Amino acid sequence: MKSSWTEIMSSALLGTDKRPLNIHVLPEDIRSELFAMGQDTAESTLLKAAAIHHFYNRSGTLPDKLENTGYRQITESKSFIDNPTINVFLRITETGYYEKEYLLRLWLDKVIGQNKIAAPNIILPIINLGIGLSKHTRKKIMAILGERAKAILPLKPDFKAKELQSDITDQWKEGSPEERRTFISELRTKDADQSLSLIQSDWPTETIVFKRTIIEILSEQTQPTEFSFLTTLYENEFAAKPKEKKTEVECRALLAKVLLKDTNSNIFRSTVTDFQKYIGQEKKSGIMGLLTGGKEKVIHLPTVVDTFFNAENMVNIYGIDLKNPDPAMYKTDVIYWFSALLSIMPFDILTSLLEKSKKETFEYLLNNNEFKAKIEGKDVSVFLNALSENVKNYRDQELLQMILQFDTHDRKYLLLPYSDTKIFEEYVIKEKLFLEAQVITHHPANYEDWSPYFSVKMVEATYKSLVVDKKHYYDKINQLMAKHLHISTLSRLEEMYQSAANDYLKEYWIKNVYQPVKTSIEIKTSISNL
Amino acid sequence: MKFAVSQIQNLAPDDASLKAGKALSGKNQWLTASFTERSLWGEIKGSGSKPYQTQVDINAIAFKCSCPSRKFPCKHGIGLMLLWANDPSAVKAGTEPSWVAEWMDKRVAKAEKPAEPKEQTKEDIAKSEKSKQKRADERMMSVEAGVEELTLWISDLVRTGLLQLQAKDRSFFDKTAARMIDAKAPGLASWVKSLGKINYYADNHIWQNEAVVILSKMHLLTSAFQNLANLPEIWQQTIKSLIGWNQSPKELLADVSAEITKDIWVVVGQETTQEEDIIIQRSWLKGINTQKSALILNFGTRFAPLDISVVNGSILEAGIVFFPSVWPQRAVVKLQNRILDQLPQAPICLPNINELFSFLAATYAEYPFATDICCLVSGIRPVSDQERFVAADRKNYYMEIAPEIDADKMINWLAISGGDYYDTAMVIRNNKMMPLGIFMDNRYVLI
Repeated sequence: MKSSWTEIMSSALLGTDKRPLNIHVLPEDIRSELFAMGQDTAESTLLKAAAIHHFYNRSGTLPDKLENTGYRQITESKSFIDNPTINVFLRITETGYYEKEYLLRLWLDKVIGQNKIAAPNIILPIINLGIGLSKHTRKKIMAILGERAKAILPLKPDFKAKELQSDITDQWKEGSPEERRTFISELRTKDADQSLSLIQSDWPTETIVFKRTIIEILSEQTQPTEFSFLTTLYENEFAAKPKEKKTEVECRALLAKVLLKDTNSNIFRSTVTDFQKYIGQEKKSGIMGLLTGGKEKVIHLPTVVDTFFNAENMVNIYGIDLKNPDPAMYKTDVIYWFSALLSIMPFDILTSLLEKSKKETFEYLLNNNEFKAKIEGKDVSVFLNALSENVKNYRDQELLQMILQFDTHDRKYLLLPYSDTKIFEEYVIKEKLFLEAQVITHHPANYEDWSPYFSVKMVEATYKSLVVDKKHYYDKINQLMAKHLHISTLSRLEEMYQSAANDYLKEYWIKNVYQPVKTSIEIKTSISNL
Repeated sequence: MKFAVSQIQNLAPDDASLKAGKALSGKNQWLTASFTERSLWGEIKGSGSKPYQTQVDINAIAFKCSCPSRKFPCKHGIGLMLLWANDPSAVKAGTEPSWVAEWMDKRVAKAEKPAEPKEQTKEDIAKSEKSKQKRADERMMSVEAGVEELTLWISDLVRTGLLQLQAKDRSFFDKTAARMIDAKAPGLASWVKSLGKINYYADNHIWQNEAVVILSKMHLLTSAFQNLANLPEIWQQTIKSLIGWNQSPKELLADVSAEITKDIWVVVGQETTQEEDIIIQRSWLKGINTQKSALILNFGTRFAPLDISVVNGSILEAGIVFFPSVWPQRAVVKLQNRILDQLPQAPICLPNINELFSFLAATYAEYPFATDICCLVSGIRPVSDQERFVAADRKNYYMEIAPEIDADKMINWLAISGGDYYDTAMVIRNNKMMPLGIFMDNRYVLI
């Protein structure tokens, strides 16, 4: 049959003028059919032969057989999620880009808590939704995929399941620096001992740059066992040497910063001791001095280098390098070093040595004329930046509030990300910063709702701006509201919806605020009711 | 009968309506929402002073809403259906208010008794018949001329060799297709277009075979037309339909002599394509008792939306009439009684892929122009084999998947079936399988 079809094809391709069909090579059945149809043109004979051959061929074809289909019956050990849970998921798929992942995580946490797995009809949608989302979210998705879902994961390479499934040792041993960094950070939150054990086992072979990365990771919420490891590094590997690389000094600076947080560390104790000699007494200034004749403790910084404040000591103990300090800001090198120390040492060291309250110490450091510089004709507190850095380092909420009160201008952008929810919300409400996307973005509640009161304030402020004052604001605010508004805000939102006059601004507000926020709140409510 | 969310999504005229409908699917938004065995209705506050009244005929899917939207169904209709699907407790069983009952009664009456034709005098009838005959004669002459021209075109191609096709640009085929349209033979125009749509940059073996098969079928069709007078009546109708004579659903529905096939019909699959400005929706139905297959064609344009009464994946208790043909396939729904939640019994399927091949061979022997053959085959599972998907039976015989089916659909099939064997509905197109859905516990699940 094959050769006869080749004959038909050859004739058809070259044309019957050049190569008429030789019907004698056709099978007997086809030939007799053609003869039965009578005389015909060469073209017609060819096409008839092709048609008959095609149908003959097709009717005689048998299906092919697979050698090995790899068939196995899949049984699930967990039960599938129910229909209401599926419906909530389907609603999440319809939400806006910015709130989708947030809502999905809430939903995933709920399903994980129920110890259930994704139903067959949403396996593909959920895998497709996960493509491009963060590793953290994809891991949660993996946690609700049953056996049948896992069997199809290799067919969806864009989901990158492999990087989520690989063995702990593989990820640590073979990952890129970025993957290893993420891996160890995540492992540390779950099992600090295991992460430290992995770090220690490979420490000798790590590059100096990656060692700095690891120390940076360990400097966040350091565990007691980690302090011991970091102390060893500080005292041995990163102790000052005659010739050292810049990164080694940076590592020492990081280590000094961490170890200063530990009141039992040598560096903490020596710092306290060294500082004591700069504490002196002075008559109290102003009316209090006149009335009481009392004295107060003050800081007497040397005007020239001494045994403590000198370049060698500063770099050897704290990793503080003298990097061309601004002479207008820092009158002497000592002030520069003191400022650098102020940013990394516990603020309590000073309050204790000065025998002042935190507020008094803060005011002393910022208002004392000795610690002020003239920049562009204005008096500037030299240590304001150092104290801001200290807040970032120690997350001291009292100090943070004092700085915000002292300097409300640009400092809020710098420090609000380090505040806790209560302080953040109070500050935003007090300063009416509702429409400042740069501020609201840093609300500490990353995966939680804002407080009911703050949520209502946000809704009212945005409504007033859009519908009453006709002022647009950065759309990021709406995206954040869709994620974080407290579910109790819905009633206030509905009141606004009912009361607003029908015009294009209300339409805009409905489309950009009311509708996405309402959907999001409804979904959050549904999730909590599952 | 409640619809699944995926089915309701298919009813939406566009994505915007679907999104808006979803936003209106919360129970707090509806002032009232109720249903009976035949209807679903609700009232929702809109921008006007009075609430909008939305109603749905849930057996022969149809919508009505008092809102001013020109979309069909409107967002309120979609929202109400979604509310019922997502939160059944939010929609209570009730008694139809007058505004629902009136509309539903009219619909039922219309379905049971179609509008009677206008009364005509004998003279009118004679005049109409004469003019009809004249038009038919003119059409026949025109098509005959077209067929003659096409026969010559095909002969020229075959005489000079098909290798030249690779070098022809699209206009070569479009010009001839346009000539066939002028000759009132749109069916032939489609064949010419399909020859032009072959991928001539594909493997030589593939395009050359495709071209020879298409040309041989065209030749078979034109020869059959030239021999029309000698063919039985049913073949004459079939050939004329293939050439492009219109089949009017309206006339078929009005024809009281047309046989009605009553059955439980599963809408096993749907495909929507667009050709120039016309949207074509193919719905494949399978009769559970009669084992017949039916193809419902729907046409839409930008200004005339598709008829949405046949919902993909639904199970209809309905009467269907087929257009007369040697191989009856195209049909229209004449009576739609109700929509069922599940099948009363398991469907009868071809037992395996070997039997499917035998069935296809028998079909082609009976009717060589058969395309899109809808079948149910027992015990089929999707298999991912060497970077391609196939459908295999229990003995590992397999059929290739049609290129129209994207990988995600196959992956969804794997997810839903767990890679296990199920009775499967499919359409066979160009000897490849388009899987449509599977039967699971008396339910039909689209894939």
